[in-house]
Amino acid sequence: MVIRKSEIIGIVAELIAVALYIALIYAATAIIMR
Amino acid sequence: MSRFKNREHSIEIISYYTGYIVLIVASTMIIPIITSLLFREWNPLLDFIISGGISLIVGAILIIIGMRAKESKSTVQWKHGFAIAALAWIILMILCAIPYRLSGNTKSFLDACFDVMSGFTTTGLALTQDLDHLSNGLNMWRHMLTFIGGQGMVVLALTFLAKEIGGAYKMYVGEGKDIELVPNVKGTARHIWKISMVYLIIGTIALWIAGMAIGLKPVSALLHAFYIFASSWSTGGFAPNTQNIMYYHSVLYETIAMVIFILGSFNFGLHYAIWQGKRREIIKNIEAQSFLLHPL
Repeated sequence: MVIRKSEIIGIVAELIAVALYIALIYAATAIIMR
Repeated sequence: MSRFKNREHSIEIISYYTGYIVLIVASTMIIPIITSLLFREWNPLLDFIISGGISLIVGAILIIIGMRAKESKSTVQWKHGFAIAALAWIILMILCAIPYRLSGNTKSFLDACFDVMSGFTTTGLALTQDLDHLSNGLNMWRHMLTFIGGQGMVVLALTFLAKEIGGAYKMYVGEGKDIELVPNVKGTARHIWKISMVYLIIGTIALWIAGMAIGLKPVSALLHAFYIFASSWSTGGFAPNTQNIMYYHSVLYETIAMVIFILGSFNFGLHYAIWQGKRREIIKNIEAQSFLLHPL
């Protein structure tokens, strides 16, 4: 199983996107619950 | 007479490929066997050896029955593909339930079958008794079932094909999958497993570190990391404890699990597109867009 450089960038991009999405939900929840 | 011959021929084709899928999935019992060996759990080890033996015999018998179809290089038709996928699921449910029943953690064989199907379909409901005191071998098996079920048993079997066969796509569709990452099914199956395996390593390491940070022992943290990853990636609901994710009482652990859950719920086509460099797909994809819009 070979993992190319573009795939590593893709994985990082996906992880960042999902982490940002969860941060958005946490932030929205924090604002609503305040 | 020819109708009877046709039917007999169909049975041989179905038997051969069902046996092949059963053999591949049953051979994954080697992982709980190794786990039981490592943790010196002799009773679960015996359960898995017995179950593995029965499964290998059943798979071999099915292959022998259908050997003539293999030799005559018969083509798999749509009706065969659907029957193979359905039969493989039912036979595997029964075979994979044997270690549950032998462990004595289920009240009946039907309960064991329920648990296995719950794993395969990534439903996450459990009828297994005394979850907190299950052996590591059985826990490994439960979570492996949910992980394999998330990708699909037929997909797993097709990954090991030596060469592309004509009917592979029909079996693949028979399992309810239609995504084509590359033009051939064997390649698609391999890509699906590659994506899953890469995230398995990343997710397990992340949860392992988080587990140790919240006070679990390294070995226990590693096992828990794999268990929680397997259920999260397949968007299932299994966990090694009755309290499920609440057992860990950690925002970090839950957040990592959430990331895996969301990544696991994405289409493999989307993962593949992003990995291939089409990064705008994460904004353009309808699944990603609906994800973003839903909390609003």
